Amino acid sequence: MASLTLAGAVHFWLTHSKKVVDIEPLEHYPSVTIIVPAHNEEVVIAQTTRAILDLNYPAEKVELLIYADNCGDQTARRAQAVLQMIKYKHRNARVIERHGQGGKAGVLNDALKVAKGEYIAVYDADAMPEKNALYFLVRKGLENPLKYVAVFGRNKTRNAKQNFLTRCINQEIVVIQRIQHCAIWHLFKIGRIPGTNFIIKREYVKSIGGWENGALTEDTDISFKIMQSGKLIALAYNSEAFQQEPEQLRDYYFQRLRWAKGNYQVVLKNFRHLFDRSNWRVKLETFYYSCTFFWFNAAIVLSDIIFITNIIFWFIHLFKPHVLIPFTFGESNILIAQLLLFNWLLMIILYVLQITTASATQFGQATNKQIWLALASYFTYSQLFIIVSINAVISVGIDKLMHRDGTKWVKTKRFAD
Amino acid sequence: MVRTFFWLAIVVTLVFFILAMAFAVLQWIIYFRIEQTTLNTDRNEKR
Repeated sequence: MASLTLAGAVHFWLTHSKKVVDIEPLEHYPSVTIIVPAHNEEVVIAQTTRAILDLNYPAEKVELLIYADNCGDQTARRAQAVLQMIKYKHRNARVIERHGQGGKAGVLNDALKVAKGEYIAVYDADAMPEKNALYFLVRKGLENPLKYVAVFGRNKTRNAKQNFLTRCINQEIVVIQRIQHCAIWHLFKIGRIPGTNFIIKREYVKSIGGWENGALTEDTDISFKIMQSGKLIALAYNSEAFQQEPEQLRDYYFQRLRWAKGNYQVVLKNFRHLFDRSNWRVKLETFYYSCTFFWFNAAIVLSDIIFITNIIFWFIHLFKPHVLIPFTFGESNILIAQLLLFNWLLMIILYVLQITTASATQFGQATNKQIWLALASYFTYSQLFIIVSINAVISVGIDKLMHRDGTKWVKTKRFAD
Repeated sequence: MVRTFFWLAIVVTLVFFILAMAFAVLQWIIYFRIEQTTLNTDRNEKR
């Protein structure tokens, strides 16, 4: 699976690596309502608001709605202060203080009722869009307005150089954005709404009933709905937004736990589509998700159990020779063991290749440091995925058994730049 | 059984190895193309 994705991405970048991107004026600029759901985001909201208002898109075509959702801090005041600046006073922008339910999905549904734009754009409070981010999204959408009902861009890590954790997260994000997203779009025209830096047609969202209130990953959920209807989520690979990633292990853990739980919920909800008459993209995506979150995970856990058990028994064997190592192909068949070891080495090479290929697609990012970091993260950071996934499976199971509200989540801590 | 697994493992390993080599080469091609395109664009903009 990883080889197929990497092959798709390599082909995508071979065809796009010689393209020079021009910022030509569009034939027409559709109106866009930009929604910023913010929950206790006083640290980052001002910077994000300014970045959005400075976007390279006709000001009269942009409506900005900043939702301070159940905030206990100065989010609304900080955002309002930016809107009061002389430079932005004439802009169609407002801050709405919200005290409703539903989290981010609830905010988006509320905004859907008042939004006037042809498109709805969503930027998380920590996502600072690059100047042309919205322009590229709209340009892609206009390539095929009937089919491309949503367009998504890339997210870059804003605090990548903060510590080892953020460096590793940055590599992971880079691989997801420039390898996975590019490959599945290039090969199958499948897109995934990433939660921030995307646009979607307002009328279309209304027609599918909006966002699902309380869904842990409302974006994955809506992505499935779009694909089910036969429409596409297009990739505008030049559209970039800078977002903050957790700087501490605890914040990282709870963020990923929420994502993993949300993804499990989506897989469970959509698993039946593998066997019914659903759209083939939905089937493929469900298959992909179940491979990543169930089969791959189960294989890793099984392999780790075998590895640890064999090590324990090998240690016992040193002192008590009659005790044998349990999982072998026969002690004399050393060739198979060597082959498997060589395959493990190839797996590590493939892991590093994904990262180096992703780095090579951006000028100045492919460095030796990235290779060493990739090797270090394989044995440390990547292993966290197993812990997060196991915990998510248990948590989803308990939520179902105990009828527990699994949608409560710990908010990712923000940092001032 | 072990014999079948052995030959299966040989085939998988070979395919995997060839793929890894091909990806490594193609990655360098992408790297040089991106560097060249970016440097040429920068040079033209400066002119």
